[in-house]
Amino acid sequence: MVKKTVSSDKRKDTRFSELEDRARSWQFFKVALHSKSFILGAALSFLIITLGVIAIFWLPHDISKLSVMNRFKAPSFVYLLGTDQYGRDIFSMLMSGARTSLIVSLFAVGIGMVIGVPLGLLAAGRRGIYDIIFMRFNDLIFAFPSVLIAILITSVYGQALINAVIAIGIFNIPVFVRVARGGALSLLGKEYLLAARLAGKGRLRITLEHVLPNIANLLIVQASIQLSMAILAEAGLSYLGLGAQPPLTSWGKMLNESQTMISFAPQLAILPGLAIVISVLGFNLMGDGLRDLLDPKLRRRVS
Amino acid sequence: MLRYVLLRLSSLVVTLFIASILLFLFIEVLPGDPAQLMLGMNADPQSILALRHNLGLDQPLFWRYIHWITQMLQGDFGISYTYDVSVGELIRERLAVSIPLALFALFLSIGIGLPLGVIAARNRGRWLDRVLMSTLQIGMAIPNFWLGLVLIFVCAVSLGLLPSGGFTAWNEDFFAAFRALILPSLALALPQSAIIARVMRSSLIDKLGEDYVRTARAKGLSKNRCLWHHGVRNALIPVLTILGLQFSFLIAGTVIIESVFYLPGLGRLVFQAISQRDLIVVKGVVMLLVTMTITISFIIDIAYALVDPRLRSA
Repeated sequence: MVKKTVSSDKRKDTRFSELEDRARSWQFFKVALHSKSFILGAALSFLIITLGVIAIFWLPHDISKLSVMNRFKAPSFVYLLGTDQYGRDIFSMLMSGARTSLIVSLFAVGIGMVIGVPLGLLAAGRRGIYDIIFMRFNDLIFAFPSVLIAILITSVYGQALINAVIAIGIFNIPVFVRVARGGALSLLGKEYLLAARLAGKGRLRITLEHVLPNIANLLIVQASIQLSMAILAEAGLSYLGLGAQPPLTSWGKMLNESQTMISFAPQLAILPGLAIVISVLGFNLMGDGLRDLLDPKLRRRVS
Repeated sequence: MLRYVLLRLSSLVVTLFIASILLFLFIEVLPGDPAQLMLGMNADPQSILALRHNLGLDQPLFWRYIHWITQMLQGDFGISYTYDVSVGELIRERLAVSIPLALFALFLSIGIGLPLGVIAARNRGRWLDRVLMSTLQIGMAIPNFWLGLVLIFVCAVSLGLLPSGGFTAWNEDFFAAFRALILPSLALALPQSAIIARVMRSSLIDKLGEDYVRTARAKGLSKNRCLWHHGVRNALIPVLTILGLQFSFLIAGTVIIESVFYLPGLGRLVFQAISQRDLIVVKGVVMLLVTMTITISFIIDIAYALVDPRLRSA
């Protein structure tokens, strides 16, 4: 690492001050506000997050109460999107589903980051055998899609929402290993890292104070994309009965329950699906918009 | 090249080996006593002992693993505890549904995705490209099992064109079996094709900006010939990588889609096994699916090296 910095021909390119570098890496969040897809994505994500957060404290209707009288009501001012087969307000169910979906995805992506980022940084810092081991480890986890992990956990421990969190979380680890490793490797030649070493800072301190802040933008962008994938995965697992269990509501579970009634109440199958599409689209567009701005090769093409 | 293949092959074997150990530990060691788990809490000690003996649980861990691996290498996945038939037989039956489903979906997603990507790249920046890209962005966000439900509602319930679910065996009625797989494979393929189209578009645009394409144009080659001879062929390489990555999702998707359309494939088998706590079936099916994913990624790596010699040194 040290040798490369001193002898590299690219010395000029790497002679940014760290502050400049950091400013550059956060600049793009400002630029992002001019990207249409980012604004649309952020708006959709904001909508879903708001509904999910409100659902933690308040729902328009009580969805734990079943009422045969109110079955299959058409949309009205009382029931914004109508009611389902048990007389529950569909809009309230969707809000509650947003809450489940967001909580599961946040925890799952959190697991991926908390375990994946340190591993990736270690692989980048130590290289050699660590690198090989982590890459093999990535291959290995990749062979276990989250559905299979959820199947395994459920077959041994029975059904629970935590299975979905763990299964999606495990699948997120290699993604963050890769991003953190790649980001850290791109910083290796920087002179401020060398300066930090000369100042007597240890490996851990350099990583925490200099490497991590400089790859934070990469990690945030990836987290946004992973959130969208986690929402998709959670819906799939809940649809299969491997995720949310009663009394929790989930979009996937709503879809599962709607299937037998699709011929006379298709809205029960359409609405939760639209909720999934809107949230996945939102986080995806937001992440994509940010990533396009991060990638200088792409940026040149845009301008 | 031979050295690269051997290197990759050895890493394939090592990955498979570790995967099998993990799976074995998870199913046979973590639950404590699999026999107890399979029979439930109120089973009498006598039958638990009998099942323990049947499963070979009274033998040391190491021998159980060796036994399992050698048996599996011979195609013997053990005897299903609930069906009382060989798991290998069960799996073979179910593969007749799952493999055609996965392959149809794969071909459909390539058949739809690649042309869309080429069209978008050809018209880059124009309205057609913009409309296509927005559609693809939405397509990527659609969960395949929901698309399955929508297809059931539109094509089966409303229009009555295709069956809404279920499956007739291939040798009973080939055409009916084929019809039963059309909607499921479409549901699997459409979201995948959106991803393939996007990768194809950006890869093709990338390649069309290369110097050798400009040279070819300057030489007098028509725009279309440039696109096909210099663009598409080179642009396919990143698409190949994505296909390898997507295969893992395709297998996971097959498991879900089979539940949507009530298809008697591997996914359904494993779900019945979970509710009946038949760990032997779960172990066999998961190991098979994992092996398939790892092997496919190996094959794609080799294909990749065949196309692009620079990668062989890696």
